[in-house]
Amino acid sequence: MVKFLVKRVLMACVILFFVMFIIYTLMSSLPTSYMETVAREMSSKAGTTKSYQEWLDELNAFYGMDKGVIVGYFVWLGNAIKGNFGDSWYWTVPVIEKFNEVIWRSFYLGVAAFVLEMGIAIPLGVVAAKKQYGFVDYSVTVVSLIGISLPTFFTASILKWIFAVNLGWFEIDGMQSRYYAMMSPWGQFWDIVWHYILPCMTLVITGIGGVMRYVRTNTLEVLNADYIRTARAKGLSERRVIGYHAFRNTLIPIVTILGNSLPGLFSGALITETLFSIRGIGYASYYSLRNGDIPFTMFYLAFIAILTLLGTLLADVLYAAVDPRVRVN
Amino acid sequence: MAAYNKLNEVLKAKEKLEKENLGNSDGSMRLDDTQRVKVLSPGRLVFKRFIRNRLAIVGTVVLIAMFLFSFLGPLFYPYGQRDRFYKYGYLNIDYAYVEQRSEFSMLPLDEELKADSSVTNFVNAKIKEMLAADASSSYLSDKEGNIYCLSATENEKVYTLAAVETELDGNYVQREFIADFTFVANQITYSQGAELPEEFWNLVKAAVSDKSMVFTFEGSEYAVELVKKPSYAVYCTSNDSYVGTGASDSAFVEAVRAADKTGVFVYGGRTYHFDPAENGGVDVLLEVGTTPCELATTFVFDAYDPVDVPLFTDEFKVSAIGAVAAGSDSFEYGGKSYTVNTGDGHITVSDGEGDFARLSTLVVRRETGEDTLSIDFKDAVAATLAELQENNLAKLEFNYMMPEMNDSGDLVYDENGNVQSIETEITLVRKNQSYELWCEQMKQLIDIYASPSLAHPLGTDGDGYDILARAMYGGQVSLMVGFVVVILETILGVIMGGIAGYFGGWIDSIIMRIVDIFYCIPSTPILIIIGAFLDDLQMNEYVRLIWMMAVLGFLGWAGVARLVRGQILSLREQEFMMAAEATGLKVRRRIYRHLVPNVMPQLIVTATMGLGSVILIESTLSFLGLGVKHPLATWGTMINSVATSTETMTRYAYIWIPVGMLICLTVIAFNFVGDGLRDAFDPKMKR
Repeated sequence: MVKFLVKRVLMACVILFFVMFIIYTLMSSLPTSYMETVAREMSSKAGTTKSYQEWLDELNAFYGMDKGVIVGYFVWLGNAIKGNFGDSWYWTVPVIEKFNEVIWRSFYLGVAAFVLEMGIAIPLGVVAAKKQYGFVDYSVTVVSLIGISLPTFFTASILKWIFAVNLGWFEIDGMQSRYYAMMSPWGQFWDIVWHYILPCMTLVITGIGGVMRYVRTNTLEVLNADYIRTARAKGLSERRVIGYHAFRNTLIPIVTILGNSLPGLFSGALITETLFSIRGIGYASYYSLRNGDIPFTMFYLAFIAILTLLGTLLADVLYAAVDPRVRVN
Repeated sequence: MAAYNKLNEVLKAKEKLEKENLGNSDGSMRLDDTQRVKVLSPGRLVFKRFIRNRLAIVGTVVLIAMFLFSFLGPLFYPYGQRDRFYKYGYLNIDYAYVEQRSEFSMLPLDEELKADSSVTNFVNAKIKEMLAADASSSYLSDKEGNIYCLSATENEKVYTLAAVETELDGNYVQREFIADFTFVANQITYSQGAELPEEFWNLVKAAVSDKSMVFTFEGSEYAVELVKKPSYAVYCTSNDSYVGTGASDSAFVEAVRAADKTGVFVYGGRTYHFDPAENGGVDVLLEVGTTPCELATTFVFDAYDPVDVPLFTDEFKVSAIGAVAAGSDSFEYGGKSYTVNTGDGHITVSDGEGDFARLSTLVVRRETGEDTLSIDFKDAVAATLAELQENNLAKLEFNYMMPEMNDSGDLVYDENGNVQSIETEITLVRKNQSYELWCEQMKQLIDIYASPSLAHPLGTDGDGYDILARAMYGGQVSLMVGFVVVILETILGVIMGGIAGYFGGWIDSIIMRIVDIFYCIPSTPILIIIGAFLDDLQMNEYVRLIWMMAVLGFLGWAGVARLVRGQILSLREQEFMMAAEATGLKVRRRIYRHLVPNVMPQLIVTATMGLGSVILIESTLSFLGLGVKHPLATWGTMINSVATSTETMTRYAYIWIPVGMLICLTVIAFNFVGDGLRDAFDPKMKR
């Protein structure tokens, strides 16, 4: 087990190295960079003594962009290992500081959506599998297929249009009401919850389909297994067969979902957060990405890549821990 | 030969008997009849299972409808994706420009006598000076020293500029040049015949050092002037001289001495001018006569006939203004005689047939310059302007009968063929020194955000494009992107996965690590980065589209490769592969003819589902403005054009909701079909 883990972690490190190298190459070959904008601004300021090119060279040297891609990458990597990700160009604060500021907003949103998704998808998936080709099954299949087919931006727009514009129940975007500062702590909490409802709904609607289908397929597989037939042959009640023997085995593959959802909980919902102006990590990274903010983007992409690798590893390990039939090697 | 014939006969008889048996009494079949059991090919089996799936059928129907809509629709729909539509509507336009003329403009009496621009450019300033000083005439000189006289006429809006003819009367020298020196050389150089003793030189130095610059020597006064550092000049200032040709008596010299050398002076009823001479003095010039050469006026000519506007030539204007300036009531021009009438507060020029032109200082001109406004309209403007100035307002409305226009921007005529007029409100607005007239006019406008109608079933968008047409062309792009990307990633994935799965070992390891890397790259952020990158290159939208498809395909192959590899790993251990190897088939043939076809079912399912997700990604990118660019229609850009701001999203829901529905329907249909295919290929899941 330990050997397996060590091997996997080392492999993950190698993969991470190359992933970050590809991303770094891509980022540094972008013709638009925040530095050019800054250099242009600096050189057009009154009283400046340096030309645009001088400013650009100076900034490039300051951020280590003048050493070429490969050396620059190792410089970045060396700093990153030490935990130094530099200052965000777009947000003008240290990357880590910005990250600490925004990550929890995304995390709460992600957790809320995840809990809701699981709470709705698992029971529905099991029920659908129990009565295959029944009405519930068809409904679940159709709903989950529609769910995975809905574009996030369209879902968000429709929800905004219905609930914010026409019904006026929620605000169209943002995280706080106008009078947030005057509210009591409890009122502030509810205010934020209120603003989180629409983004959360968007995430649940677009995310639930996949989970539901997965649960249904796995439950079907379990229900076809021999031990279920045995349980039925023993004359157990259908409730006990499904609720006890089948359901517990259904949960095994769901562990994989848990592992694979890990990046989703922290990485934030890029498009949903941007559309609803939830100032989480997705929102922050969207503007960093568009404005060529290399330090923040590199940090964000490294963060997601690590989470993805960790998630896969976690899924494998959890699966092995839960299902004794699976050998780690 | 006979034996064969016999055999044939037997066979024929048997055939006949079999036919009779088939069609025998009750039409039932025998148990061993081969036609009793219908054997279906695997393909037919899959098809049969597929068409039994209601969802898959719905998906297929929707997809066929989408394809017909996108690819055949444009053939039957009259509009293209970039046909801009126009409409006529009332628009508050800048109708005319109004200005109270206060600047004088020049009218040459004769082309040959035209004054230099160095004179004419100063006329306005000079007139202001004259008005301030209440003078009736003033002199100007051009850069060559020619003198001009600007004089007022009886009419305050007309001035004449005349060239002054002079003759040289004499030369007046106020001071005499004695010597020049520099401190560097410490030496003084006297002009000819003016050698002075050393003491003088000391006095010069003393005058410079105590900065008084003047001194007295032997009863004469001297002045030191800095020419240009370090050289100085010394002048004797006590005796001036006048060398004249005419009446150079002492009284005249005294008058010259007293006169301002930059102006003129009058002596004995004659006018003298000064002109700087080369010897440091001034030439005194006697004025002997003037030739009028130009008129300066603020008058503009308004024609009484706004339709057939006469051309007011400079000559005509000169004649008319000349008459006005002279206060005469008639003039001749081009063989016709005109009368000038100043009775009713306006200066009107009439020819034999009636009022011909009017002179005024109010300019009222169409902004477009397309037609000339009538005198009556100008009167109305003048009255409103007077009221506006009197009450010190910035804006004032008045009504005027304007030509009526119908809904297509054409003039309306009554039964006699005359232009129908309608009372229109016109607003006079002050803009700095000038004024503008605003009024509502029927204009051709781009038909933006038109509501759904018969002509445009889904309305038009912010550029005046037909939404239904754009939805069709957008569908083409979206579907095409989906297919190209999926084909690309399938080809890449099958090649890589096939190699990895078949060879195994280190090749497999390397390829699978590459797959891991691609799996790990977060695709949405990367696509956003690449979108921003492509934005910067500002390439043609079709080239951009191709790039986007290539990037999407390149990022998506890892999943297909993993699937193909997994399948091949299990397939290659099976007997048929051993048989293929035993028959000595080439490796390439074994992979792509024997292994890959067995992966086909999964590949088709993945590709179908993949089509949906690629369309989703494409529309999301286009929605963010990072995918396909605006003039090219895709479903994503169409939504992006209205759904990004709250206001447009609320007002133009009829634009983005149907288009969004198209995206959803297409993706759902692809997923339904993919799901149906999965069930049809793999009936294991059925109980």
